[in-house]
Amino acid sequence: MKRYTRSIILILVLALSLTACAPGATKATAPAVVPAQTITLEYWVFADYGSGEAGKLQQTFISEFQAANPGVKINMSPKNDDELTAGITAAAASKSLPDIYMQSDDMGANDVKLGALVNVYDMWMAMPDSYRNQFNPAMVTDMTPTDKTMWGMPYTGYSSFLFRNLTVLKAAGIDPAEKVTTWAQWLEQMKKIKAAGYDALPNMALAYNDFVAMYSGVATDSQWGIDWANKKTNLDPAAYATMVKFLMDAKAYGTEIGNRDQAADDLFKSNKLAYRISGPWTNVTYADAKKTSGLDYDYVILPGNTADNPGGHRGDEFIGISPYSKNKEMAWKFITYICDEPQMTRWATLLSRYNSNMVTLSKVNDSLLQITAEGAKSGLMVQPPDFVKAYPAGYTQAILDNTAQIESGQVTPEDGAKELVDKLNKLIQENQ
Amino acid sequence: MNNWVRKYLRHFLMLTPFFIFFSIFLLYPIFKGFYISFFRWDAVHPAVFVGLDNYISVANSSYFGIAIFNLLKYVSITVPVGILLSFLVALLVDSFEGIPSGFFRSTYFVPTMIPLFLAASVWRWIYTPEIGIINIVLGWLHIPPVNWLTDPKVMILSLVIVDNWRSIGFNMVILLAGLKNIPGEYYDAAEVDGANKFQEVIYITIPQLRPVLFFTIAYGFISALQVFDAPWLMTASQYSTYGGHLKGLLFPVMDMMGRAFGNLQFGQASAYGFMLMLIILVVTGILFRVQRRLGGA
Repeated sequence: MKRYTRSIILILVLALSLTACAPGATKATAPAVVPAQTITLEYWVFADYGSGEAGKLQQTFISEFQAANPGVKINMSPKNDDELTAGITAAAASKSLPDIYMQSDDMGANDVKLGALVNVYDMWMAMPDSYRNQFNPAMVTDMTPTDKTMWGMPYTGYSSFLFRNLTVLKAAGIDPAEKVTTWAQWLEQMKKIKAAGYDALPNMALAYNDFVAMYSGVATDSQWGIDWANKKTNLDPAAYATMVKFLMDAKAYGTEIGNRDQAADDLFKSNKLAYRISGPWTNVTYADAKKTSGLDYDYVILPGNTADNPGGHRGDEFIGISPYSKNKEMAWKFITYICDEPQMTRWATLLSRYNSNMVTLSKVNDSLLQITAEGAKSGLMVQPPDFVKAYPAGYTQAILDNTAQIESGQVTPEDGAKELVDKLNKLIQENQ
Repeated sequence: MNNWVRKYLRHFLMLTPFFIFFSIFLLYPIFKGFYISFFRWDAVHPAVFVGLDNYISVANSSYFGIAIFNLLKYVSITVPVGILLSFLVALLVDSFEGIPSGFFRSTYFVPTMIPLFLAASVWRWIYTPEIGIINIVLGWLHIPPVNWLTDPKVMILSLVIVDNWRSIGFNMVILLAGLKNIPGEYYDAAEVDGANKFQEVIYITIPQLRPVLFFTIAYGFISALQVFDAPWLMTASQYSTYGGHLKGLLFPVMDMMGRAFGNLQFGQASAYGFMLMLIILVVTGILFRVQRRLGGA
């Protein structure tokens, strides 16, 4: 037994000796030289904003800001959408959120529920009028669901529109200059395209955002989203039924391949598909295909059921600050720097991306930016109202499932629409 | 007692680091998860005790019924088909010697090593309506194209194909190791007695391989009951919309993830996890019982 006791004592002594070599012990004898003003800000950005040319420009903004603010260090981390959603949830639970992060407005209600955003209203109001007046009032209003509450700085935005393969249109005997503003006119073109041996439209009923883009062509803002006060959906059953009927008609001239599938993209680029509905980000690959394989295409506003109500969906992105950040003022300073006109103009010029800075939008003469702005005027938002309450589980899936049931003939459009409204209302009420 | 301590203390001291990590990373999350399943909790705000409400909510939801139905359908096809194919492939590879044996063993094992996100992308291509390779071949045979990933009637079958394509190699390697351990004398004796190849497989190979087969079957069931990544990727699911067209590929773990990260209902997600664990325990228990009975026979 004595031998074992000696062994244990020896191990303990060795362990204690080793702890003396730990960094803490070194600090006690030789304190590290740390600049008094050192501030490190963690900055999470969308994956496509943190890589490639966009990533380089973000890094340039960071370098400029760091040079102007000695002692400040900003670490940028690109995150894809699901990673951002799960990451913010996990980080909020462990109170380890990044100081600054980007997020889509439609996720804003979730972030508010998690207590993951600082109310920046006072900091915003403290900015000079000349600064605040730069921004799109609608986007600012969206960030401000109640009085004196603003959940971040509106940053970028997008809308969807119609990419047209002009080679396919011409082969089908369609003059691309011929304007199509209604679904009836559009269906006439689709018929010609199919008759010429091409596919007109990909399947628009497989993804929620595609659904919103199409529904937007028959509904107005008041016929969409959730009325939280009255615990009911704003979805209009008649408008919805009209849209599904159009999708069923269009299906006869299109392909089963989903609009968001890579295959749809490739069919379009290889002159087999006439139309694709997407946002400005898609133009990067099409512009490239134009250079390398001579893809002949353009983009126009998505037709609607009537000429006065075009289709397409829209969404905004914002930059928020963590309530757990120890450097909120510096975080705000950085955000206001990158959202200021000179930076936003560089951003818009490089990426042709729509953003919240109206001065920038008036300066940059870019057709892609213009059509995005045009699409944003008429497009429906993804999950309105933003920053109020998170959508109930299964809400978006219920819409897609119902569309699929109608398309497969399980139920008529009118009965399906009624069933859907009942189901959505039930989901909202259960979520209260 | 003193003797016992003297004899084993060192051993337990050496095992202590393992038990510490085991407790922190395995036992604690299990108990914490079970505890959370009785609370309404969004990961940030204080949890509210709701008793069995989470279990009742999950069990009453339409998604749960669909997910369990899909799961039963999937497991009942994928496990037997997978084991049968793995067994046949193992027999085939076992019949080769030298370079062909190594070549086929490696070839069948390659899909197991391919990252799943890559495999799912490739299979999404293969399954593409109209222009996917399978539909092109069907077209040559004058068979109308199949919507592999959007037609609820065939979506499970699409998943079973991908699943078996990935798992056959892994199961084959395990079965092959078992086959190599069967003494050759048994086959020689059977041959002398006039047994044909089929009889050799039935009366020698399968009984001798029973423990290994049991492992592959049990492992197959447990993996299949937790299916998540392949259908999630094949249906391009997100936390807000998952399960594919008409929920044709909705499975319990997907619903669990959606509830947790899409809707911040971590209590319900935990309850879901424990209900699934119960199902896995029951299935595994049945398998052990069957194995014991067969072993006894």
